Order: sequence, then structure tokens, then C-alpha cells
Amino acid sequence: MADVKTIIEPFDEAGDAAFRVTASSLPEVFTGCGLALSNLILPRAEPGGVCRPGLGTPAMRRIKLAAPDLESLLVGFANEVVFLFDSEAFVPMQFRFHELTYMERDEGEGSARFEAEADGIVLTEDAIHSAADQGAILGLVPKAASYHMIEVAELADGRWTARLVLDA
Amino acid sequence: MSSVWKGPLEMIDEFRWRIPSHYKQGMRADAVVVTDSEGLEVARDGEALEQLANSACLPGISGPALAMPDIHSGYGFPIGGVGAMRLEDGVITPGGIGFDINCGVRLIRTNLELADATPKVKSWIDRLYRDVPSGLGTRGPIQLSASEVRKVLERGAQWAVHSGYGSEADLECTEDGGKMEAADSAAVSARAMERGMPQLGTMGSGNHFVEIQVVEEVSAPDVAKVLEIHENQIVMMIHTGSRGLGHQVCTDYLATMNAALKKYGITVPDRQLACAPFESPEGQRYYAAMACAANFAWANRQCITHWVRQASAREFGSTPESLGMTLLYDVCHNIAKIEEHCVDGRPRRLCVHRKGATRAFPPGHKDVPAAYRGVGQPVIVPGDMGRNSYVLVGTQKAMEVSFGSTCHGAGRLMSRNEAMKAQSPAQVRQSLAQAGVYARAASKSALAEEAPEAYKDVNDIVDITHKAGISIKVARLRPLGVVKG
Repeated sequence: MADVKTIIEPFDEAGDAAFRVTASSLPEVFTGCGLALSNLILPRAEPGGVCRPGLGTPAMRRIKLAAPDLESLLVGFANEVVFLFDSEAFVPMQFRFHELTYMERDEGEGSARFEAEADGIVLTEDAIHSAADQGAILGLVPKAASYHMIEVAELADGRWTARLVLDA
Repeated sequence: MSSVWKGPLEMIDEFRWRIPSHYKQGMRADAVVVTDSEGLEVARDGEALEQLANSACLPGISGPALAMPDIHSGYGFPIGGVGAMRLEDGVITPGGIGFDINCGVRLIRTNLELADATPKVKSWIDRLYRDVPSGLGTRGPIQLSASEVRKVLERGAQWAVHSGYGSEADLECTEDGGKMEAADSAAVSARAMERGMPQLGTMGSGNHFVEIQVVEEVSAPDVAKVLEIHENQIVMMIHTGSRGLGHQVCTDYLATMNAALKKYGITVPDRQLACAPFESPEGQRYYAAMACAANFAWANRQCITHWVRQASAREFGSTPESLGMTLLYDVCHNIAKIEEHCVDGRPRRLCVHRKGATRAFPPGHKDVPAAYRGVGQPVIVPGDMGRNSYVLVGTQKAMEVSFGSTCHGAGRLMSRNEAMKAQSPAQVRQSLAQAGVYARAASKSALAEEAPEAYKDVNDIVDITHKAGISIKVARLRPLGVVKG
């Protein structure tokens, strides 16, 4: 489950899916974004909540990304979640971020980076297809994260906030 | 997050409105919206007009940045945006094409009449729902080796036809013959191929569909005769694109282009408009990858056409040939192409970006199939699943005012969230049934997200394009049954 201080606020943008996440630290903001995205794909009572049993096999995936800035890093992270679902039906349920760092500098790439582990499930083909027929489990599956209105920023009170718009 | 446009809009004529290039710093050309005064009020809502002004900031833009009457907010360009860039000093941008590269639509004729189809619509749609792979996480029945995958990317619909999924006649009635020559599969990432290739021959989710429709009204009988359509005839429409492969190509090259901005000293008002000079290595590589995704989409629609023909033949205990299931035309509405247009009285080759806009070439144009050259390029415009769709043809006026472009559909009015809050899928199914439309959907929320009320009325959009002269109405189609992704 997301940290209790994490606030996830969906909003309407360009017809697709979008949300703002505010949390006490940068890793928690990224975690909140990942869980909000995961909850769009496989809706549960709350982001990071459990899904009903029997839908898939527990699995863990490692994600390692670098980008020139935090906004690109967040877009890359969201696209990684989209890719993992589209390519192998993996739905993350929890994230552990390691070494999420950002070095502000004028030039050069790789000034923002992280390594993370995502715990989740690989949905079975039966689960996906029964869902399709019965309208049972899958929700809105974004196909890409956009740079549209992208924002990652530290607030005056020391918390962090991010805004992400997804193409669905 | 919605806003209302408060910037300048100058009337050029009854159907064209200008945002002058002095509106904001960085604009290199005017921006022009093709719509009427009522459509303009709708366009003011949201960010679409600001996005249109942003697209006029791109280096090398030739003439105004344009928006078609179905303009609405997108990412980078607005949906309905058209931007023509000079090859020598202009850019190419994934944000002017969209994530679903070569999302498009095709129309298949049948020799069935309304009376033949009416008693069978339910079982026919149920069969199409079973036989045409659709929806989320769907894997298609086509298994390909790595070398075969590259052939699909480089040969497009030609690969599909030569693999038994159609005929040469299909290729003649597909934009560009279903293949962009610029494709180079080496420009497509392994990740894009991994994501997309299991999905060849699948419809996908969102607003993609297969519909059974009837030709409700013919408004240009002479043109309709050439296009071989008549009132009460049953036709079938397919709307889909390049699936995960196209999205991944766009995603990959947005990162490439964001890095290229600094290299080439380009400033853009929106990172989704990240771009590179067309002639640069990054620009050429993206164009080659985009062409691969376009080819994938054409192969995809061609394979789906095959499943649709097979399913329909089984339903009627016949064959596709006996049912007269020939392709009228296939158009793409998210793409960039090199085309020749007249600029300041001289022919120039331009990279024309169309994002949610359809090519609409006039009678006599060399790129219009020989069979249609006397009447102009067919334009297939899908509406929502409760109202109408249209067959139009392109015009010389479109060449003069919109780089040979017209609208692509109805355009959204509500976000998916708003639409889902407004009605449940069951309510939408019931109201469609009352309107005589039988609907099946693969994903949980598709019917509610795609409810007719979530869209502008395509009749209004098409009326504007007709009156503005950028395309001519030929036939109005009415849905009888729909399979939604």
C-alpha cells in the first residue's frame, strides 16, 4: 500500500488518464505514480491494494533507468510499467526504490537515475481473456506516458509532487 | 485542468480562423483553424488552440499550422492538426503524428442489402467478436519468426497479401499501396518489436472497432457510382492502428528527440513537440521507424480484413467473393509523409504531419488509385457507434487551403473518465439497442468510454468540411452492429 502521506489525485486531461501525486519524498512520489498506473490497469479498492487470488503468478521485476532530468525519468518509469504489462502481462503491486538520485547540472545525460524492484503478478491468459468476456478485472490500460504537462517538483514544505498524463 | 482559449482569432472567411504569428513568441507562422463559428466555440475549450499555436513554433514550417474541424486537445499537436515542414530546414516530430502511428480506417463493400443483414446482425456481430482478436492484452493468431517480423515492417500490407491475407486489389485501394518505402526495420527497437509482434492481426482496445453499417444516404450519386456504393447496401468498417509497436516507436523516439533538441539548438514550447531536423540522422531514423510502424498498421488492418471476410462468409454460408467483400479504401490519420504541394506558386516537397487528420487528394492526383482518379481520393470518416460515419472524397480546395487534408472523425467531447461517470456500460448497451445498434465490447469499460455522447456529432464535423470545400460528402453510413476493442 502507498505511504499514508501519499496523495493521489486523478484528473481529466485530453480524454485519457492523468494524475497528480504528492508525497514526502521523491521515491514515494515515484512509488505513488507507479501504483496509480497499476491501479488503472488492474483496478483495486486502493492503489497498492491486493487483487483477488487466482489471477496470476507472483513475480518480481527489476527496473533500472537513467535520464537527463527527473521528468524524463518519470516518463521512462511509467513507460516501463506499460511495457511490462503489454509484453508479459506483469502488473506491479509494490515498488522498492533504491538509489533514486538527481544531480542538477547544466549538461550531460544521466543526471537522474534509479534502481527499483517491483513486486506484482503475471496475469494468466485465462485471467486476461475471462476478464475481457466478463468485464471483470482489467480497467483502462494506458499505452504510453507522455511529456504533456509533465512535472516533478519539490514543494516549499519539503514534500515532492509529480503530474503525469498517460495516452490510453 | 480545463481552460478556455482567450487568445486572438481572426476571421479569414466563414470557415477559416487565424491565430496570428504575433500571438506568442516563437511562432514562425500563423495557425489556422478550419471550422465554423459554432465549431470554434467548441474548439476554444481546453488546450487545443494553444497546442495549435505551439505547432506553429516548429522550425521549417511551411504555411500555417492547421487544424481540421474535429480539433481537440492532444499531446504536442492537437488532434486534428496538420503541419507541413520544409525538407531542407524543417523538422519531424513524433508529437505531430501521435502515439498510434498510422491509426486508420478502411471500408469494405458487400453485395448484401439491409434486408439481408437485419435478421443476422446479432449473430454476425457475435461471430466477429469471437473471430477477430480484440481488447486488452490480446495476442493474435499469427506467429512470426524474427526475419518474418522484419518483412512485415518493411513490406506492410504487401506482406499480408502475399501471405494469403487478401488480394492485390486490396493494395490498390490502400493509401500508398499499404507500404511506405522509407521503412527500415533496423530503426525499430527490439522492445518495440517484442511489444508489437504478438499483436499482429488484433484490433486492440480504446476507440478501435469493427462495424457493420448500412449506406443510409447517398448525396453524390455520380461519385458513389464510381465508388460502387448505393443506398441500403451493407458495408463494414475497420478502425485500428499499429498497436503496441507504434506506441513504443513513438515512446523511443520522443526520448531521442528530447536529447536532439539541445544538439540542434531547437527550442519548443512543449516537450511533447520534441523534434529533430528532418534531414538529420535522428530525423531520418525516426522517419524510417515511423514508416515501419505505418507498415505494421497496414498489415494489421489487412489481416483483420481477412478475419472479417472469413467470419462473414461463415455467417452467411458463403465466400467473401460471393459476398462481394471488396475494399473500397484504406486511409491513415496519424502519419507524416513526403508530398508535393504548391507553395507561393511553386511546387515543393514537404513533410506533411497529419495527427487526427486524413489525406484528401483531389480528382486527377497521381496518388489517387486509377479507379477513383476521376472523382478524387475516398476519405473514410468514422463517427461514434450510435450515430453516423461518412464516405467523402478529396478536393482541389483541400490542396489549396489544408495541404490536401480533411477531418478524421468526430472528436472527443468528454474524457474517458467523464464518459464512464455519465453512463454504465449496460446503460450504453441499452440505449444503443434502442437506436438499433447491437454492441459487443472486449474490455470492461469500452462501451461507456466510447458512448456516443462522449463525442461531437460527426454530422456537424462533416458538414463543415463539405461547406468549407476541403472534402465532399458522398455517402452517410449508419451503424447496425459494432465490436469494440
